[in-house]
Amino acid sequence: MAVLELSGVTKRFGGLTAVSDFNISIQEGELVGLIGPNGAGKTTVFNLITGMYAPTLGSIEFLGERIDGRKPYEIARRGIARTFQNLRLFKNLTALQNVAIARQLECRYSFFDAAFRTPVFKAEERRVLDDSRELLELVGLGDKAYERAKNLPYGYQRKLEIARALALNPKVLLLDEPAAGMNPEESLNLMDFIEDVQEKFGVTIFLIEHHMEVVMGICDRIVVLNFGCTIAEGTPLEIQEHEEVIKAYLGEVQNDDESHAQG
Amino acid sequence: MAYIQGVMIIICVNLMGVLGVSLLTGFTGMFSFGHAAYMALGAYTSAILVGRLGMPFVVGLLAAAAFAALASVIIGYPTVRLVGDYFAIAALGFGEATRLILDNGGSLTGGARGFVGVPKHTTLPIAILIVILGAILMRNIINSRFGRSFVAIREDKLAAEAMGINTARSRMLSLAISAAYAGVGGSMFAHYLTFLQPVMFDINKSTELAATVVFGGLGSMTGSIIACIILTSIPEIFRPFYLWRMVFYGLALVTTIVLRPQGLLGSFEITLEGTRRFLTAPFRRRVSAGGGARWQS
Ligand SMILES: Nc1ncnc2c1ncn2[C@@H]1O[C@H](COP(=O)(O)OP(=O)(O)OP(=O)(O)O)[C@@H](O)[C@H]1O
Ligand SMILES: [Mg+2]
Repeated sequence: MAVLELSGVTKRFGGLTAVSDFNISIQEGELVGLIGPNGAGKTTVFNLITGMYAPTLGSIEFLGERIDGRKPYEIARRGIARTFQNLRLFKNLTALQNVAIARQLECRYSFFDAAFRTPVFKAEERRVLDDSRELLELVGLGDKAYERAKNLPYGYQRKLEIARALALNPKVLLLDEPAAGMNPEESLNLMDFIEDVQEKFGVTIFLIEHHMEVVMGICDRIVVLNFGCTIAEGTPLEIQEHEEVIKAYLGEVQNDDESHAQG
Repeated sequence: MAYIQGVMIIICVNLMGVLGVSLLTGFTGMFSFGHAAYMALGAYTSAILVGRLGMPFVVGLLAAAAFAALASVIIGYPTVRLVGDYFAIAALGFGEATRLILDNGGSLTGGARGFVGVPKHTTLPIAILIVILGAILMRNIINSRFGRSFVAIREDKLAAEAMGINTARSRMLSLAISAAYAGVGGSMFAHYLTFLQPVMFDINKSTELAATVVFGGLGSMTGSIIACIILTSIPEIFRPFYLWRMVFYGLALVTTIVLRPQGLLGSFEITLEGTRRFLTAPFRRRVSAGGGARWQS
């Protein structure tokens, strides 16, 4: 059974069709890439999956259940976690707090337990903080636990956002341009890191990238969007040789600098 | 002596309101210019239950908290989803509406002329006890998953939602807690003054609470507490200039915004642990030792 299945998903903003008749079926354990030029509709696909937008048409199923129309927090609780293209960390909080906020979803102690610091409260809090610390350790941020998110170097902030998403213990992890703003070497390191994460946590990953080369190495399968339409789908090799993809990307070469600045 | 005791009781009353507003504004990121209304609801609830129906003071206090919280849920349900300034405006409208209702409450509230004959129960030791208890409970809440959710919403509502936090519900909870604190403050006030008038809970009072929290530093409970003690006692010390009170608030606020936009303490907390480290290591890492530990773990 597919973990995530989008069928005929269309999203219009007024007269603009940001995503048109999008279909994909992602199997457990896959690492699927979503690429395409600026404004192709990639982030919109993520916003649709995570309930930030409701689709105009079509359906989204997670583990066989419809999730379109559900609230973002409900979808997150079911097991779909995401990162954001422009980093949305809790900036003034420490790395540990950032992770704990996602991690605490599993604690069930009551308001009364919290107000009077009952043994249940203490045990669950300890577990949340221990788990969070362990997670930071796993992603290589162990010694940064007490740094405020905004004071971390950019690359670490990217990793912290991934750690925060992993803290939800998700089945599916959506990564929106995790390598944005990184140089080619940093990007490649990050891709190794993502492969590593998939191995350690056994999550299914759906990954947006702007730059084709970066995802080629790690994705099982790649979907290419252009102006909201799916123009190609296949293995990295197939995509590399796909005529329309080459055209879409060649058409982009002239304004590539601009897209860098925006990323 | 009685006069100083009176000032200290008023500080305790204000502290309850300020603790509440601090949670809502400093920790959850929602501005409210209507919190005097929750104090008023608490004050009148308690005055009626204890003064008219002869119930014990404890019942009055608890009912004040419960009724203020209930009112906040009713008001909050349609308004917590409003973003930023719109919530503040809705809260302001609610505050004024409450005052008008009390003004026209007939024999139940005594109308604009006031509610007389509230039994005197709020002594200084009782007031201090309530405030200490209130502060401890507040600290515990902030250091829990509830407090972390509030702060997450303040930092980034969308990201909080994406991390599985039901932001509408969390904001409502924060509002209800803050209203309950203000309600308790109102009850203490009623049983100290023995006399209530709706005008005591007008927009000036609401602004005073919000201003105190900003003055102390958003996201710092200890900052709010210190600010409340300063801002409540100075106008009393300079009693002859009482008319200048609001001018003083304006000045204090403007000065803070200009010289120290983050408020007295910023978002730092003064904690026992932090103070200990500050005293034991005076020459080493002063700044971080002084406020290193925050109320959230
Ligand atoms: N909330 C919105 N309201 C109106 N238009 C929107 C909205 N969100 C996205 N769009 C439009 O939809 C189109 C697709 O945007 P989207 O952000 O999904 O692109 P993208 O593929 O992620 O691009 P990038 O590589 O720049 O991140 C763009 O034309 C964008 O302007
Ligand atoms: Mg995008």
